[in-house]
Amino acid sequence: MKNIVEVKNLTKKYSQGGKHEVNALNGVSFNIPKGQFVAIMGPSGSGKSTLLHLLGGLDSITSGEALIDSNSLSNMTDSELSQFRRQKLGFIFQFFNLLPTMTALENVCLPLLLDKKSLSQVEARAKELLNYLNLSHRMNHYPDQLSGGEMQRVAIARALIAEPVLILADEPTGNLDSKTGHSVLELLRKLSQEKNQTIVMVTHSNEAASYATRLIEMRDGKILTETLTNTNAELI
Amino acid sequence: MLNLFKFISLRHLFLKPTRVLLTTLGIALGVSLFIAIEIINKSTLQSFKQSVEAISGKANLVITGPRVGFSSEILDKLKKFKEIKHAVPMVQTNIYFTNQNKLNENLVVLGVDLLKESSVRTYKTTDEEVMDDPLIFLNQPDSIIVTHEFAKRNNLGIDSKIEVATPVGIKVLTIRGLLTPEGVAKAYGGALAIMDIDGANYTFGRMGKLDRVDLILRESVDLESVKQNLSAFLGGAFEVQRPSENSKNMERLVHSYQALLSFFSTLALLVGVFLVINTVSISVVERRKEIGTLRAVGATKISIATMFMSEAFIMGLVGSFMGVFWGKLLSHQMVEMVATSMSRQYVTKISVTKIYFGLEHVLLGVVVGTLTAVFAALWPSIKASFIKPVEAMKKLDFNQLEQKSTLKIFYVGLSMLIYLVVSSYLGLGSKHKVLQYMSQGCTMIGSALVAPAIVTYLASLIKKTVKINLPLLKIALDNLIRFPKRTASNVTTLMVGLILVMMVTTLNKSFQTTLSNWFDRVFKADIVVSSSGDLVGFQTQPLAESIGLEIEEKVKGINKGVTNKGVYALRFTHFNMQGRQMGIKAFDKPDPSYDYAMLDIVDGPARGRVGEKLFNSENTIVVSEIFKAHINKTTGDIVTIETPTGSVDFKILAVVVDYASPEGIVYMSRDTYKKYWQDNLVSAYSLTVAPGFTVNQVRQDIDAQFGKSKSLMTVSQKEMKNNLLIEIDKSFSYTKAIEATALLIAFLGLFNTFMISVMERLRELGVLRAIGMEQIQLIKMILTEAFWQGSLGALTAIILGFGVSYIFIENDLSLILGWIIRFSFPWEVVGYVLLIGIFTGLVAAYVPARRAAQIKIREALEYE
Repeated sequence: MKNIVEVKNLTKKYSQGGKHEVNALNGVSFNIPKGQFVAIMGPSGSGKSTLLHLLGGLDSITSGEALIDSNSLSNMTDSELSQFRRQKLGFIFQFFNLLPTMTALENVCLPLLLDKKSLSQVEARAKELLNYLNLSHRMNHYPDQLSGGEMQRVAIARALIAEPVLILADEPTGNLDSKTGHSVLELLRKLSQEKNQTIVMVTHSNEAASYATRLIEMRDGKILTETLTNTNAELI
Repeated sequence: MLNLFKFISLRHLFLKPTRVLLTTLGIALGVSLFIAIEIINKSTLQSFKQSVEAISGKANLVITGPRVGFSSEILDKLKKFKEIKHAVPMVQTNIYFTNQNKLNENLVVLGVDLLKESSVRTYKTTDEEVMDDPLIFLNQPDSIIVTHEFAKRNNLGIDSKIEVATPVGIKVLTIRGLLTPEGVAKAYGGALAIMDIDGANYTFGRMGKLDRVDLILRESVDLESVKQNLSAFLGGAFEVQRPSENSKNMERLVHSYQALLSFFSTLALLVGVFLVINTVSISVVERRKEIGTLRAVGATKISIATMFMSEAFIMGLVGSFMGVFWGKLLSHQMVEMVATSMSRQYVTKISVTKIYFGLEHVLLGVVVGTLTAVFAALWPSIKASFIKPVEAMKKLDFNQLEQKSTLKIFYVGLSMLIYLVVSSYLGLGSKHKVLQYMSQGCTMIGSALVAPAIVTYLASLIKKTVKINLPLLKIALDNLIRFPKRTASNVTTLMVGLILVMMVTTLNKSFQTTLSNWFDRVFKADIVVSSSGDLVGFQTQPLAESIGLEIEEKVKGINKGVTNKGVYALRFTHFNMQGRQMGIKAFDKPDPSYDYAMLDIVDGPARGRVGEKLFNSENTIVVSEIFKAHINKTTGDIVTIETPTGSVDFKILAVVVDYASPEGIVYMSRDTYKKYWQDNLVSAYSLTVAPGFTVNQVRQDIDAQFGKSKSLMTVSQKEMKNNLLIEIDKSFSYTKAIEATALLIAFLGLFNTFMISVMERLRELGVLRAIGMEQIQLIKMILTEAFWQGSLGALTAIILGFGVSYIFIENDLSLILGWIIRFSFPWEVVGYVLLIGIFTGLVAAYVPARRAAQIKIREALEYE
């Protein structure tokens, strides 16, 4: 099966106060095949968020290589990276990060609007997604008129609008109550299973990780263990 | 409290250097203009006072009379006053000398009796260039002494000849001596010349006339009683004053002009207030957690408020010192144009030779600037002190903050604007300085408070009525609508600056339109003839009556109408009335075809009836609106005027519009004028061109026959009007500095708030970048927001500027300035203000936008 993510010896160093350097990622390598739902876990400072940022092209790679859908992120200019994020990646954040000035529908359309498509061109697809996520009755509401779960579902729809090869989720349930959290995770699993969507999720929660099909545990910028899980029960 | 200042406030100031610098610069700019105007006001008056003192010398009392002079027989009459030790006569006239750069230089010529002068004034000539023979000076009527500076500037020396215009044409004068800049020579900035009194009278066709008599009284006489006795003896046409009182009159006369200058400079300072309000407000929002912590560990409300106000105090203090320094520099740049403008307006030479800058200005600038900054910080500081510790510790929800109190603020602003209308209508501003400041405060603060609601409404209106397909344009517009407070803080300073621009421009336009319309109504002549100089300001040498007859006789193409008279004389001069320098316009009876067009009647019978009575019956006059307002006499009333020949009762036939003097104008027939003023001179001649001839043909004929020999100039109707409009423009030239300062402060404010709003929206911008927004798209988005803010801010400024300018011009201006000016809106400036708004917005947003584009996405996403 084709690998959507190919990471080879990935390193990220941050300078702290000039000369002193911190190794946030220390030679990490792994592949993710299409359709896999990967959870990355680890304590604070383990490098899981750094890894997610590098996979999303949000931060520069110090050394090594990260290929997403066979595209190397290291050689891209800022403009190419932006275009790549719009067309190939979808992001889901802990605090939803919807734009408060736009309705749910407009928020969902945003990545394609930035890709110079008109609202009329992308509206139908956005409505279809919102319908799929049971939000068709909330599409003209602004973020402050939505509940946490609804906001996160809008964010998921936004992540899906460009039919990305990879969804990157950073603590997607960290700001939701447990019931709403479950429904969001269920939705991600459904996407992975039904739509063969590749997802990488960073989380602190074992319960959230249990929805994934593969678990990567990190510590001190390195991969500690990797576990393939077939059922929830095995992990719990 | 001192610890809070030391450990928190001071450190915050150093932590945000750009913001502190911008705010401090804004205060400095406001203070600089305020102080520059104060320095200029003081310097013009001091210079005038110095000129008066220099000319008055040791005189105890000065007798002055009508501007046209009075009979020298007065000297004999004064002999009966034993208290007078010396009575020293003087004639004073302005000449217009064409310098080597072909520019007209105004020179004040004092005609003095050198034998008597030493008792009053001292003259010192330069050592090397002394008068060769004082007797030649006395015996030769063409002798003149000029200041050393004037001679040097014009490359002249002893025995040099200068050509000057006189009522009977060009005369050549010979320089017989050069004065050092001491005593009298210091007056009028050295633009002064001395002639023998008889020589001057002969040269300028004023034989037997005097303009003033300086009195030295005997020791131990009661000056006040002599003054009163003399006043009673000489009658109302004369003024007997101590020298210091003369400059007090000037002080009163220019007060209105200076009040207008101060009015606008105070408004410019108020623009700076919004900069401080923004800075402190944003600082409060950013430091909510810090406030919560401080409150939790025991800081009182007062100490929290004091902490923020002390930061404003420091910025105000530093900004004020900078402002005072800049103000001094600015005053050097502006003083000349203000002095020139004042000289034209008051037909009195005001020349500023020294900038009066002292400790008082430093103190005034520092106190006003610092207090303004602290005052501006008051409200946000009080709000900060009311933040509850628990609330402050919570994550700030900007959305919730936005929804609050926008409407409440609108109503507060509206109330202020309503107060402004009422106060303006009742003329409260002119009754007390505090009420004037209140009105000014309400103009700016009221406008600023209603602005957010107007901007949001305009943005919503655009969103509803215009279909916007471009996503960036739409996102930017949505941002404006959904965050009115953020929008308001960005737009307010710009808008307030633009309102000031609108007010200044509307004032200029209203003057231009009012005077232009008036000119069209009253001025029907094709050509005006006068001596060389500035005809609009009547800064010309009067002409002899005979010149008009000569022109009529010798020049071809003059329309002589049914009366066979082609050249009509006008005499413009001044007389004293109730302490005011009233203007007189004395006209020859016009040709019936003119239909008495010069009578632009606002109160009284029909023009024709008034004209017939004015020119056919004795002791009748027409007065201007300002005369009526100042003297409180109107159509049908009898007014007593002290003429050089005694008190005369005149009947007011009508009230007309006239703008030649802010003190008031009286129209009369020249026959009446000549009878009572004993003055045959003419200020200008007017004529129309006969059919078959062109204006140019007639002008060329006059120029050829009289231009050189009599130093006459001709001005066509069109040129006259153009000159008038140029003069108004020149009078408002200083307002450019006010506009520039206000816009610069607005720019700083906008730059400041854009920088802050980028920080505030860091996470949102990070998200946009994360989901694929390119750097250039981000820059475009912020610039588009700036475009909307600039254009909507400008639109709001135009709407509010229209309103406040209307109120100001229709009600306050006549009280401040004396002129009755009709409001005229400068439509052409709408585009200009819009462009300035958009341009300022884009320029101010560019650097913050670039900075936003360069943010690290990862850091932005983690930003709280």
